[in-house]
Amino acid sequence: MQLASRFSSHAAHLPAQLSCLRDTRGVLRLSGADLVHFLQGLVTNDVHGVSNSIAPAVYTAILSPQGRYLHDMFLHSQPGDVPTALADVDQQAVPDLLRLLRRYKLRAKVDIADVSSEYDVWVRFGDASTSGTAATGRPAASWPYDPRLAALGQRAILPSEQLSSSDPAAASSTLSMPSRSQTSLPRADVHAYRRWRIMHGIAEGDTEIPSGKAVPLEYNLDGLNAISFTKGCYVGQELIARTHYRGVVRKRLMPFRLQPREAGVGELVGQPILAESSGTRTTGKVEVLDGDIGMGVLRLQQAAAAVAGKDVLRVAGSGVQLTPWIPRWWPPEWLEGTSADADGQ
Amino acid sequence: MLRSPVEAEVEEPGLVLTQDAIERMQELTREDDKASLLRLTVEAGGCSGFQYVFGLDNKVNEDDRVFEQGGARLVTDMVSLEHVKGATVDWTTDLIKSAFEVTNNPNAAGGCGCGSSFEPKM
Repeated sequence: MQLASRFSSHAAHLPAQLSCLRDTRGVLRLSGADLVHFLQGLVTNDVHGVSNSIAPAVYTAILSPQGRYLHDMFLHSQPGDVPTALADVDQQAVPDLLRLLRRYKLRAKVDIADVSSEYDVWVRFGDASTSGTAATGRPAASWPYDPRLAALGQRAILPSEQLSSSDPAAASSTLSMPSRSQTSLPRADVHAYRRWRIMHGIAEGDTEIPSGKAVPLEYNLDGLNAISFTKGCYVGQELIARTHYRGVVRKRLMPFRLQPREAGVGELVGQPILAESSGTRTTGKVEVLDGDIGMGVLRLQQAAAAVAGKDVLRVAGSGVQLTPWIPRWWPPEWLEGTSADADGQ
Repeated sequence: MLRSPVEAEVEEPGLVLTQDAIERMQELTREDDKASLLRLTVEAGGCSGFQYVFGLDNKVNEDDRVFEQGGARLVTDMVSLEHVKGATVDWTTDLIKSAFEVTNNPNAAGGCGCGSSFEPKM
């Protein structure tokens, strides 16, 4: 079997485009002298750089003491005398994040505020989004890169007043924020970005990652720069470290395409997935769907066999077939022992 | 004699020091004249959500409460006290560490393996 054929050509070509995630993402402002110390004990990634205003964005998660995913966030350092970060978070997670952070605050010198009405989250993605040159001639580097994966392009938190300005470039020059310099690029709706993420097999936010239930490694957070295994203790760390160092992750979130394509979308979310080889034993569950593509947490053994054409996956109780593929960015060791394991051939 | 309900409400559970903790505290204050207090603080972090942090201090702040036992003084701030009231502070000596520890914390629903952090009851 050719190594390349393990991977799909599904990563469709898409011209570079912009999308404003105002309708799905909220923004929190975290600031105070104790910011880094406070966050370091709470989140899965190493955030010591957050006090440095030129540090790159950090993707990270907050877990329950039992090690289940609660919320994820992108932290962007802000300039100023007091350590400050803006957090790009799922809009529906905002109330619980405020409650959680305030409960953990105790006496720490940290202020936590919902500033969703002042800022919008923007993404620039598509084929040319990582090439570093913007259509306007301005350096695309003025937007932070998505810390998860180069293929996801760039992701920024911009003041929302820029939207009402007739000249966004002029408005941005008065702010020390990354400028929305690529306004001449085509605007895409939220769906286009979501589909781009699904193509790469990447879920984000509580909308797609079940809060309080999801096992972080099954949602591939270990491959998306969300977890530091060297930073020391944080809430939920014991389970993560044990699974990482001693265990095997048998299920992971994978993208798939539905056949027939016109399969009803809504009613399939949450449905179990069965493999022809495994009878009634479930192989996974449909978690996210957008049109004919989606993602589910699948047993790697059966999913890899289906990728290789040696097994067939179906949504339980329907005739709908799923064709999964292995995202290009996956490290080969995730597939060790499966039929997609090159060493095992 | 039965206490009236009003008195019972005023009675707040504090912190208890074990004999080992008192003796260790007396040793420490003899060794270092700048340290007259053992300070217990609760902060976010550790595997289970909240962790105990012990330190030596010599200053009592406005929102502190001091618990004195056998000449040893343990101090904690009111915010931290909410999470440890009714607990016992012990000095433990074993193979991997010798340290002050919080034991029998009625506010904790669970702890991590090393005992330095806990999960609060909701």
